Amino acid sequence: MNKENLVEANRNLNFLEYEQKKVVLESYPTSIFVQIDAPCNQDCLFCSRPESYPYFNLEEFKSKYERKLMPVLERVERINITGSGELLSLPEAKKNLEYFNQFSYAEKMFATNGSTLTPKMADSIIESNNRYLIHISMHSCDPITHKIMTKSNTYGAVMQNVDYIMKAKKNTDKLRVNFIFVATTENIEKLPDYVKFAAEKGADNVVVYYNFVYRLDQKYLSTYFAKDKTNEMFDKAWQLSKQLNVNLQLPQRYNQKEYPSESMCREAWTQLMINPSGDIITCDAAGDQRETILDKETFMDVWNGKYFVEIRKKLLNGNSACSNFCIRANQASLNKFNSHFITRGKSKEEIDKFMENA
Amino acid sequence: MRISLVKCPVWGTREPPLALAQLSGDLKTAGIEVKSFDLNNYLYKNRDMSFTNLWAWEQVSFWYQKKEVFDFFDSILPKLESYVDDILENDPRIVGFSLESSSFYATVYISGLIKKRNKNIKIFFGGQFFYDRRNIERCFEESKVDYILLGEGDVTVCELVKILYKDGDVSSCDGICYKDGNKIVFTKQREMLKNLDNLPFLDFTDMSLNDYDDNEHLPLMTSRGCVWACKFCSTHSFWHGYRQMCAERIHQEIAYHKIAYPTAGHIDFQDLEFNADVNRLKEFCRLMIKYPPFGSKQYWLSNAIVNPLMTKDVLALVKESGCKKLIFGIESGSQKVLDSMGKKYRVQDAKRIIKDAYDVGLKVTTNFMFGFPGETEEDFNETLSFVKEVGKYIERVYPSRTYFAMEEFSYVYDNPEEFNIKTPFNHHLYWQTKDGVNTYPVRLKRCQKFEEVCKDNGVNVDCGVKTAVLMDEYFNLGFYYDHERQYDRALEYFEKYLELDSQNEIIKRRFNEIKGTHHARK
Repeated sequence: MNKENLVEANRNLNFLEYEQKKVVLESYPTSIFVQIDAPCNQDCLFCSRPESYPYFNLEEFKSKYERKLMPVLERVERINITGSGELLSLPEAKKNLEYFNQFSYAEKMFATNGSTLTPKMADSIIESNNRYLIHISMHSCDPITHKIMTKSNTYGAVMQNVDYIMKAKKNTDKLRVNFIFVATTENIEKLPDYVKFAAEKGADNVVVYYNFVYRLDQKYLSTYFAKDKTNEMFDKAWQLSKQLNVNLQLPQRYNQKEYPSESMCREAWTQLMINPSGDIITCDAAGDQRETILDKETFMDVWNGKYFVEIRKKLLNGNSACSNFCIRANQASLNKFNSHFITRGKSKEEIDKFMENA
Repeated sequence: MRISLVKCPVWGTREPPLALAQLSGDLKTAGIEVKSFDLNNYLYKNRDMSFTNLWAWEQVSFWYQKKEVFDFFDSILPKLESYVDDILENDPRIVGFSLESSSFYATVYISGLIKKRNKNIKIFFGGQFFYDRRNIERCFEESKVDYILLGEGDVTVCELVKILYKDGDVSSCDGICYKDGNKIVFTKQREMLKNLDNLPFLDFTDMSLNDYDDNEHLPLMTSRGCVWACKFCSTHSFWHGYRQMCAERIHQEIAYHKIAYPTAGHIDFQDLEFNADVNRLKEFCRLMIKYPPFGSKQYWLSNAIVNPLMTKDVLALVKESGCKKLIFGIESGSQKVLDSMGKKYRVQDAKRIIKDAYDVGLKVTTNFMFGFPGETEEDFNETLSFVKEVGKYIERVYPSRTYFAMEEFSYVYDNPEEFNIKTPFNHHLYWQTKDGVNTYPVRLKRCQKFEEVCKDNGVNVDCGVKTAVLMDEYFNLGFYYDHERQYDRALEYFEKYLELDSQNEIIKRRFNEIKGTHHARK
């Protein structure tokens, strides 16, 4: 079976097993998040730093995980290369991307603040002839708000690089570029301008997320405390996107009369995230529970191990804690503040503090 | 895991200390929180008039004297105590110092202050200084250091910090030594890094380029070691050979820093030579031309060796890529002296490259030494002929203001007999040959003659000192005659010096000491 067929067969089987509500799977996930932590040249207001993470080391990844992850990498439709920091600012950035390019059937996705997406890097991505989806997180297109949001002087570099890649992408159908907007109280009023900017540059999508609060000092940034303003800006941006023919992906608005009914999360069937210490989780909003691949012989020992099987069972039985606060699975939960902050690693007392006045 | 890194005086103030910037990058890559403190630059920026010239490299000898350094630090203790507050603010369990012989006493003093505050904080030192075992012993005797890092610190520092935060059993950490009772324990020697491309980018987060003397340039180091092994230089002893980053890695780092410092005007490669591998050089130039990180205002400069592969075409490519200047260590115009130095180039090649560089529009600076052991007046005259012949193609000559200094750990330093040097010599500047022909004043005269000839031939001469040429001459002749116990002559030069810099605390003190003791005896 050639590689493309392997991917397709796995996707079909995965879909079937999800539909059949199986908890022990024969199929592999259809996408993988490889956490690549890196230095960052911005200091975004809403970021989880200054938590310290070791930066990604390809040789270590290969020696520790490659063998066990190879059956996954051979079958996934998408490889999400992402993590804390700016992965393109690693000295080995190009080498890292080249490594993942060997899985040419999978689309590669990564996020960047744009400042390190230099013309040289852009050319090298395009020349790889791989399918790429790049999320450029700018959060604003005006220099002052950009500086406030990123606490950096990178606006000039970002704009130059965006110009270059958006022109260069016209010559290829293998590159998609989304403009990312993390909505906070500091930039929400700039969203309509951002949609205009995306239209001018030819972005494939504008994707808006609510920010997650990691620390107490970031609480004021949450749009949870500016619900009306946020709804208003979403409406304006939405109208503009229709006029300008921009694909705008907005999350649900606050205090809607109705929300889509709660859906069962598929992620425990379709994806996994692996961090540099070998811990595997289902998604970034998941709690403290995790499983390590380091002491397992094969990937399937993890995928069908206690952690994943339990999560699937809970999701099937409707008693997973996730759906109480996960905006993706239960969109109505955005009206509760605990959907807007990360509880991972926090004590009950700390969580109570977060919830004060919310 | 938290650690503070400190650089004590004296060190350059033109740019952040690259050792700290590199170690900081290494530590962050390993997931360790690090804060860097350049005490050297802080004191330099906040110095008062009595010590205004302490950071002029030609007066560096101050920092080698324990009493002078300790007295100076005692006099500014509140300032230092407050700086130590900052170092300890993040509650680091470990504080590391990068040091060399010129910062030894300052480091001993500051690390002592830290231990006094909290004896549980672990202190480590690292640097080229510890190439010599005698310095290791000296450190354990005179300071409160817990560990000394030997050789390259990039990997060792990360391992040591992780161990200290884990169980503290450092015996498994390669590349360090520590005291166990009265015994110094050396762990297994750490292998040198094989691939410099894997090094993290320099991290200037805590040492903004804007705080330094030359805030226009980005300093970068793309290699370690040297392809040559000149006998006056210690590099070869420490680095054993030569390793370099690839062109692409260098280009990527430039682009990275240019984002953080959009106002930086040029790149300054601190490598001993940037053109050891001409193929790498060409690849780098092509990348800089195709993807110019500085846009239309590209500007870089570097040290270079006289590599015969530097043809006119290569030099033209170098120019096109934005290079404005190459700095060559010519050192002498005499083939005999060059051969004796271990410089592996032909005088004819140097002349050709200097002219070709001029033709393609590159500026060239050339460095010269005076009085290498064995250099005769005839040899020196060949150096004069060299500048007369090609001086018109040289943008600037840089005569060494130490003329020829004995560098610790260099081949000449370790083999004085071979070079007919009087032993035991106890001064790196004031050494002389056994026959008394080559002395400090002789070397000084040659340097002065060289300057005269350059000026007569319209060649631009760099003064080479931070103070003034005359001040340097009086300062050093004063100490030279002091060293030779010719006190009247020493006083004569110190007096002349004080006419130019009346506030200088070091000279005033020595002047009064000699006057008090020597004249009293008289």
